[in-house]
Amino acid sequence: MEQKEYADLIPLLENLCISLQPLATSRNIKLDFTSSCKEIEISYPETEILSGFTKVISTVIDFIPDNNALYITAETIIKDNDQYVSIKIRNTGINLARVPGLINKSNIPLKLFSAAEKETTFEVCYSLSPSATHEMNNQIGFGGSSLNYTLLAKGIRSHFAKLNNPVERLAETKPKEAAFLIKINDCILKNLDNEQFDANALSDAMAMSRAQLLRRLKSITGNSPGYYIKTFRLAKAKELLETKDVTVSEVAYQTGFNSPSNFAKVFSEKYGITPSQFQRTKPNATNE
Amino acid sequence: MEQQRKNKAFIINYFNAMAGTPGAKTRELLEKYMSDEALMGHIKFFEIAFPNYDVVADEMTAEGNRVIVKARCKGTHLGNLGEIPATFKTIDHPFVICYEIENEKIISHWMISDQMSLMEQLGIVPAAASH
Repeated sequence: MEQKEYADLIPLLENLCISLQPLATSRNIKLDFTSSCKEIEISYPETEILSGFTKVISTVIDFIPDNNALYITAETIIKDNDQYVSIKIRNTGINLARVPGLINKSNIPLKLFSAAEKETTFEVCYSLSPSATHEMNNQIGFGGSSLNYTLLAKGIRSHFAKLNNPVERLAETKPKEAAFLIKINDCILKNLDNEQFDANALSDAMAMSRAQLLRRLKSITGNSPGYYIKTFRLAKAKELLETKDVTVSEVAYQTGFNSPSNFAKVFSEKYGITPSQFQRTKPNATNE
Repeated sequence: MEQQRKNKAFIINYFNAMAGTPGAKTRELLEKYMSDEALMGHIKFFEIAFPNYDVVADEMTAEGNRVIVKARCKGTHLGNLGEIPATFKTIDHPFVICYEIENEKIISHWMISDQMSLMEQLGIVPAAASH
């Protein structure tokens, strides 16, 4: 069946209420629909509107106690100089304000309108402006689980990114240590392709004794200068393999490894995969 | 089916009763809804840290005498959370709780929550991770 790209809300909601009457009647729930207009046409796919309202109304019926009522009203309203259709769904018998995620499992833009001790009113608003771009709301209403998990995932990513980046992690809590690490990183970066640049060279560049450097760096990162330099080189090598179109040998020499074979060995030990294999995992990798 | 519906409505009413005015979660009110001492202790513990915290349910399933809820706790950290002093940060803390209900009372519960998210929202995790 061809799906209409517009819907006349009034017959649609009327017929929906008629079809849900047996469900409501079985629980002795009064289901009533009224509208101040005879027709309200909006440019939304009819099947999506129907499916969304069916889910919402049947879920509310499921939650309200027997012998109560569900009133659905439709009216046109003016808001910010634009005309809207406002569909209100009001239930008696229970306050559903704290369970919004349960009510709106569809993609209609349902919002809590008001709540009382044993009553809730939800509202769905659609713009009637001809210029309005109508897109179905893809979020679960009220910042429900979908949004919540997006935020959570963002938080987890941010947390682990900070763990992997000691400078960023320290910047918030120990700015002096962060500044020290930035200085060390700059020194290593300037000498990245110099395979002779080791812990002694780093301590010279930092104008510190080898023991001082070891003590300070270990207290911040838990690693010795030698290990820190090697890890830094590997991280840069990985970044080059990920972002630049270069050969493994070029990366090895650019990051201060004395030979590609030594680089491959050290890289595999760190990341569990050879540089060539890692390079092939890039999305735009070829078999060249 | 009817009993499961009643149990769900009971939990929704319980959430509504717990919310609202500061100090709403009195022993008297808790006893109206539960006989589970562990849950009462847990609510008291959380109420000290997040006075007048609210619970919003995202999903609810009922089976037998159990109701399982995927929910979020919303509040502001104004008191001690165990040994963690007030951070004055607001939280939206996800958790899953299973209530066992008999004769309109919660008789036991099981709960799991995203502690890492909570610690992050309170700003505890980055401080702890940096030694």
